Amino acid sequence: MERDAVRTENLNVWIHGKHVLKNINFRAAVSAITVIMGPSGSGKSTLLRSINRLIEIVPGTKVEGKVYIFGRDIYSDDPYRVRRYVTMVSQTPNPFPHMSIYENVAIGPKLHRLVRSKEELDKIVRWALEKAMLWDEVKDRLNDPPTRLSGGQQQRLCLARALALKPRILLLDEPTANIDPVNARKIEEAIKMLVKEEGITVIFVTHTPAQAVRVADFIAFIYNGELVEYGPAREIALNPRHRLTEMYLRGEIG
Amino acid sequence: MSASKTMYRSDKLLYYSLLPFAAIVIAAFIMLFAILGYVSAPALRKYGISLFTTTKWAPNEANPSKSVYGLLAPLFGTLVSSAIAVLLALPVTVSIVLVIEEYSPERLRELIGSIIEVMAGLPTIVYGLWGLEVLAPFLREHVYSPLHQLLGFIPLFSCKPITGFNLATAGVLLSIMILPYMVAVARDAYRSIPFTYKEAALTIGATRYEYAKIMMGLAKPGIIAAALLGFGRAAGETVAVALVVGNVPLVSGCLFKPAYTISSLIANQFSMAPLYPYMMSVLFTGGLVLLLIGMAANTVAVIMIARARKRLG
Amino acid sequence: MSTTLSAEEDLRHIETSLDKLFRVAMESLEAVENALREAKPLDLSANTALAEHLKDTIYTEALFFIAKWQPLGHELLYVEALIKVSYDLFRITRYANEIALTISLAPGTRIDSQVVEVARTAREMVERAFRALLEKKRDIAKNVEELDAVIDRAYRAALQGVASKEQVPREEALACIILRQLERVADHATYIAREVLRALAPS
Repeated sequence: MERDAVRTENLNVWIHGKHVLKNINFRAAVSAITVIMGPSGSGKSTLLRSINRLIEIVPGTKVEGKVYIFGRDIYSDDPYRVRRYVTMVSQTPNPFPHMSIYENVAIGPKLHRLVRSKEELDKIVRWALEKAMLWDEVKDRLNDPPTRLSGGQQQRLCLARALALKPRILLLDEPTANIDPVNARKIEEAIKMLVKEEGITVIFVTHTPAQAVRVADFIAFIYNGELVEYGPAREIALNPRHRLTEMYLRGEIG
Repeated sequence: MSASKTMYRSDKLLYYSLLPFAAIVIAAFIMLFAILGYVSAPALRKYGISLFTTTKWAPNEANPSKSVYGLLAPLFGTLVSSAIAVLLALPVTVSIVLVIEEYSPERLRELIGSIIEVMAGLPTIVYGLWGLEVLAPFLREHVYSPLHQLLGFIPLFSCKPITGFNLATAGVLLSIMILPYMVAVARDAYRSIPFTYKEAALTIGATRYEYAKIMMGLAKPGIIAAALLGFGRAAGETVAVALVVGNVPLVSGCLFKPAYTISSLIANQFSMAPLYPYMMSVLFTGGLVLLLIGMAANTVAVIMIARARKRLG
Repeated sequence: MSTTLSAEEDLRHIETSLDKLFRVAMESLEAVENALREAKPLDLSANTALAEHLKDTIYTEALFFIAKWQPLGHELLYVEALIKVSYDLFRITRYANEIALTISLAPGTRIDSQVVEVARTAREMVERAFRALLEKKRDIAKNVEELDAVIDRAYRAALQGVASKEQVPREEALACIILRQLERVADHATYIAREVLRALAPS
C-alpha cells in the first residue's frame, strides 16, 4: 500500500513551447490536505490539472514524466476513468445553469451509473449536499436553478457535484478566491471534515500563505514552475528552509 | 471641472449628430408596416378572414368581382416547407458545430468554416437552378419513389411523386439554404459557453459523448434561436422555392404533392396583379403575413439569445 | 499530523500538552515533599528534561496556532498565556529539581516539618492556578496570590533566623535554601494566576 495518494516523477509540462512545470517531484499523502502554494502564473494550477489529466484539453500541451495515483501511472490509463475518482472544483463557481440544483449533483452518479434506483440517487445527492454544508439551505428548493443561489452557495454546490462521485481524491483550484469570507470559511471547514470523516485526499491550490497555513497538513511551494520546497505545514510556516519560501510567506515576492 | 463640462458638451454633440441615422432605421421600419398595411387594407376589408380560409386562387378576368383569392394554400406551403427545412437542418447544424468546435484539427475546422461561408454567400438563384436540374429529379428517383413504395401507408408519403417539384423538395432545398445561417448562429452560441463549464463537464468524468450532451444543453437557447432564425429565412425565401415547389395552390397532407408558398405566389403573380382589382392588395396582405411571421421568429430568437447570455453570465 | 477542524480543536491540543507538563511539575513537587518528609535523596533530572521538551513543543504549537488561525482579542491573549504558563511550569519543575539536588547533598538531614508544610502549600498554589486556567475561573486564581504572602513570610522568617545567628546548624541552612526555592515555585504559581486574570475574558 502506497503512503502517497498522488506522486509525480520528473513531471514536465510545456504549453505552446513554454516550459510551465520543470521536473516536479510532488506528492500528496493519503487522507490529508496538501496545499500547492504559489503566486499566479507559477504553474500550480497546471500541476493540479496534470493530476486529473485536464491539462490535455488545453491545445498545444506536452506532458512528460509520470503521475502515479495510488501507485498507478494515470497517463497509461483512460483519462475519463481517472476523473471518475479524482474530481475537481474550479476557481469560479460553475454549476450548470441549465440544470436544477438536484440535477447538478446527480449528474456525476448518473453519468457513471453508480446508482440503480431513484432512492439511491436521492441518497447520494443528499449525502453530497450535506458534506458540502449546503443541504439545509437548499433542501426545500432542489428543483430551482442554481443561478438563484449566491456565489458562495454555488461554489458549495460545485463541491457537492464533485463529491457525488465519491472520489478518493479531491482537487481544489483556489475554491474560495471568488467568494465572500464567511462562505470561504464554510468551504474550508467542509473540506477538513471530509478528510477527517471520509478519509478523502485533498489537494488544494491557493496563492495566499495565510490560507495555505490554515488548511494544510502539508505545503508544496511552487515558484516559476519549480517545486521549491515541500514539507509539513508547521515546518513551512515556522522554519522554511528556502529563501524564496521565506520571502513568499512574508509577501515580498508574488 | 471645466474639462469635464466640455467633455460632456462634445459627447452631447456626437449624440445628436448620430441620432438622425438611428431615426432613419426606426422610420423605415414604421413605414414598411404602414405601407404594407395601407395597401393590404382594401383586400382585408373586402374578403376579411376568408382570405386565410380559402385555398382557391381564381382571378376572374371577365367578371372581376367574382374573383376568388385564398391565401391558405400558400400560407400552409410556407409554414410546412420552412418547418421541413428547419427539421432537416437542425441535426446537421448541431453535428457540424460539434465537429468544428470539438473534434476537428484546426485546419479542417478552417476549411469547413470557409465552405459554409461560401454557401451563405451564393446567390439564391444558383440554389434554385441546381434544385430544378439536379435535386428535384434526384430526390424523386432515389428518395420519394422508394419512400412511397415502402412507407406509402404513412399519409405523408401516401401520394405518388409524379414530379420532383413539390413541398418536400422545397423543404430540402430550403434546409440546404438556411444551413449556413443556422450553423453561424449555433456556433456563436456554442462558442459563448464559458470555458469553465467545459472544464466542469470534464472534471466529473464525462466522456466525449456525454460532454457533447452537456454542452448542447448549455447551448440550447442559442440553438433554438438558430432554428427560429432559419425558419424566418426559409419563410421569406422566394426565387429558389418558386422554381421547385410546383406552384399549385393545394393543401395536402402528402409531401409529394406540388404546393405554393406566399413568396413564390407574390413572385409569380405580381406581374399580372395590376390587371385584376384587389389582387395587388391580396399579394400585399401575403407580404404582411410574411413580415409578421419573420418578425415573430426573429423576436423570439433574439429573446432566446439574450436569455442564454444572461444565464451563462 | 492529522487534520484539525477548528481553532478550538487546535487549542485543545496545546492544552493537552500543557496538562502533561503540569502533571510532570506536580509529580516533581510531590516527590520533593516525600523526600523532605523522609529525608531521602531524590533524582528529578529526567522530569526536568521531559518538562523542557514539553515546553518547547508547546512553544512551537502555540506559534503555529497564531500563524494558522491569526487569533485576535482574548483568544490571542489566551495563546500567549499558554506560552507563558508552559514556561512557568517548566521553571517550577526546575526548582523542584534544585530542591532534590539540595536534599541529596546532605542525605539523612532532618528538615523542619514546617518546610514540608510550605512545600505542600506551594504545590497547592500551582494546582489551583493551573485549574483556574483550564477551567477558566478567575475567582480561583484570586486566592493564589493570598497564599503567596504566606510563603513569603515563612521564607523571610527563615532568612532572618539565619542572618541573626553567628553559627547556623546544617538543618537550618538547608531549610533556608529550600524555602528560598519553594518561594520561587510559589512566585511562578502566582504568575500563572495573574496570567489567568489577564487573559481570560471577564465574563
